[in-house]
Amino acid sequence: MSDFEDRLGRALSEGAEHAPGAAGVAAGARGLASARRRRRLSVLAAAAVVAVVVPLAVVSQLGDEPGDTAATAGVGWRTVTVQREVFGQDTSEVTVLLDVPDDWVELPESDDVCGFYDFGAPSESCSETDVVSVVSDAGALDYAFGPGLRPASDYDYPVSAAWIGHVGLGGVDVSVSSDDYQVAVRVLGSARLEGQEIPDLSGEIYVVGSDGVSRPALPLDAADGYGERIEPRRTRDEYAEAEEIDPTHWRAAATVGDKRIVVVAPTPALAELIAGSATVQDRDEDLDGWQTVTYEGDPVNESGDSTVLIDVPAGWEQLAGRGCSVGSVRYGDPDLGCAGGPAVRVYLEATLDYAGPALVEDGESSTGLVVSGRYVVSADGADYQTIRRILASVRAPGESAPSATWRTRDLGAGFSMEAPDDGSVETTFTGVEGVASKTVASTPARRRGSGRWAAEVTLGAATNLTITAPTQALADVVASTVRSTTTTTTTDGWQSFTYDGSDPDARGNAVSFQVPPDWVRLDTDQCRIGYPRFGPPDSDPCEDASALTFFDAETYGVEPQGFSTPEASAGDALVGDLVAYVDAPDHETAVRILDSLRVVD
Amino acid sequence: METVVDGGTERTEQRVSVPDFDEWVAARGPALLRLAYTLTGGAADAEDVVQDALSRALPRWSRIAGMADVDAYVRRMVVNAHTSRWRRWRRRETPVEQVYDADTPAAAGDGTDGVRIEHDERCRIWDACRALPEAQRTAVVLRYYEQLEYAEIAELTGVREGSVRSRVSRGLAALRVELGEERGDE
Repeated sequence: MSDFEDRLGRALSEGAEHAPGAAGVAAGARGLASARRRRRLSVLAAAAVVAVVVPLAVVSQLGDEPGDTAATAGVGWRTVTVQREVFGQDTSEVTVLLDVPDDWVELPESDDVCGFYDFGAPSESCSETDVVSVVSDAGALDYAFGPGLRPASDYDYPVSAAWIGHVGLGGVDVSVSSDDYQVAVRVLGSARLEGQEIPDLSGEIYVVGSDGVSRPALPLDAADGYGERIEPRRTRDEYAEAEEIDPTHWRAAATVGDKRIVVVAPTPALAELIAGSATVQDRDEDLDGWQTVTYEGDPVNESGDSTVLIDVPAGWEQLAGRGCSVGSVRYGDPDLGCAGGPAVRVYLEATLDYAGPALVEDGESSTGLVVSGRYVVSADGADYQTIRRILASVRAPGESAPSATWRTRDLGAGFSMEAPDDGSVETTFTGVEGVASKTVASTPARRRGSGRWAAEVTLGAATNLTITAPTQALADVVASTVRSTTTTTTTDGWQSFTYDGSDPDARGNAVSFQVPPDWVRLDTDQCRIGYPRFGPPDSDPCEDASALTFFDAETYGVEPQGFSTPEASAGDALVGDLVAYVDAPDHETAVRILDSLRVVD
Repeated sequence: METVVDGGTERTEQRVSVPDFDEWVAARGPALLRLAYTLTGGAADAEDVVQDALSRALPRWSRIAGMADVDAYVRRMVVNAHTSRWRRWRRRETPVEQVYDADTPAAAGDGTDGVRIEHDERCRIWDACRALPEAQRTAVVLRYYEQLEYAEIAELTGVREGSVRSRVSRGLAALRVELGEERGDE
């Protein structure tokens, strides 16, 4: 270090001694965090405020008089009423009815936080669990979400109960928190204004999932015009705020990932509860030894809004410690740590020279990266199918992961593409017919007005393939799987294939070759390691039997030696950067195949 | 006092000692403020930057506190908070001739001794650093105040190591010109 650098360091160090003290910094941070949260919540709350209202004391409990206990309450429950004065409505006062557990009591007014609640479980001290409040000044509430019931895990800060939610009744809101889902959903579902009817809620309420959307199965009679439907999402996000169709029919619609749920119910509370509580159907049960990890955003940045979900093999964890970078978040096998092994890394896109998505097939060292929101997610060090599944699953909250089963589609004109078998990916061709060359070039996916993501792939000189998918990552991953598989037929019926090397890094060169008339490119998606393989249609794609297989020469393990005996029907040959291994029905077939191999410039 | 939580899964049964937020801030806050002060050049700005970073750390403190190197993580938050703040304000603020607060090193007196560098020179260096472009200033501060290696600065600021070297090099060159230093003194 030079004298100048030394003086520079000392000047900075001595100058730093004049930095302010740390007294009050923690308290200031708390205040700032609280203010930021209130600011964010007020955006949601403001949309729901339709009237200026003033709270009025709880005036009666029907449950106090046995004859007033509503039939809908059932055993162990009772109906209570709360009156609130409102302004800006047709009436200046509304009566709200709620079903609450029998043992809940009216909570006394107090200056602490419990003064906010109207009824709750008996507690010697102030408790924010198992409580309900009817609030007319909705604008003052700290709502983190729109109407509906949410688990504590949805919140990015500590909350008081396992389930928290609220619904609106036109000028007043009902807010509940409980560790018991049945209690929370029942109290909210029963909320109604005087004169409104609700169905019998005394049975257990299950969460059901269909069409990719999970929601509470509250009883709605279709014969009365009630029910729900799932349809594609609209461009703008929708929150479950009920609107009146007629006095006995209320409709609420909410965005649920790439879908939309529309509910028609007899009360606004029921409509908001069902629509607002809907979530993307959890696919964990189908993950087959995989799990979903959630990176909840980097607190360096704006908020927890930038969450990204990734499916990874079971047992992987977020890693920290020796060898782990502070510039990215890494998931991997905890036994291997950050020193090596397969890994998923999450970076802030702004901190990278991100050049676009990629998926590189390279045996057990396959790799790739995609972007989701402000994050770039990379995966490397595993077989191609694992890397592809990880990257294709990268998504924002509310979006669905694709099926884990993929199929190779023949696009015609000598090109193929891999896509999940769930129909989530669509393709359209534009441009002139015929493909002059085998080149493939793609541009990163962009969001369209429909909410779906579209990646453009140019095949040859003038054919354009548009791949649309529900997530940005899936569109980009599928676009990365488009490959050239040019095929022609020789005069004696054999086929001439061109295999493009399937490596965007251009390490694997393209190869042309001939195979018997009935041979096809085998679907190796289900193989543990999916080496490119051509063989009879009934050949096992995952075993070296009756097939021509291409390996990266660097990882082949031995020097290609041709045929081990003069009559052998299996042999290998070096072709550029690849090794071709053929196992044919007879020696002559094997020889012709190996002799036909040519590197394509 | 430290809050002890069960940070492990059933498989590991590992118990992790998680430092309390207030106690951690009390212990590490002064160092963060000194760093922020050298980055921003002002006491009020330094407090704002540190409070901003800590306010973002607070809601996730249980997770951050479980990290292997909490100091490095929060330090990175402070650097990024400074960068974000600078970017947010640069369009609103018009550069003016440097006017020192009463508590800046340039104005504060000290008991200069043989080891400490001269007050005037320190003020000149401080001024020159503050005049550097933000990216260069951050790189120079992390290199010569925090004494970090280039690779560490690269990870902390999220840029390539080559870019860090370039920023430090250009920052030093600018400082030499500003301070009338001749190269070759090493």
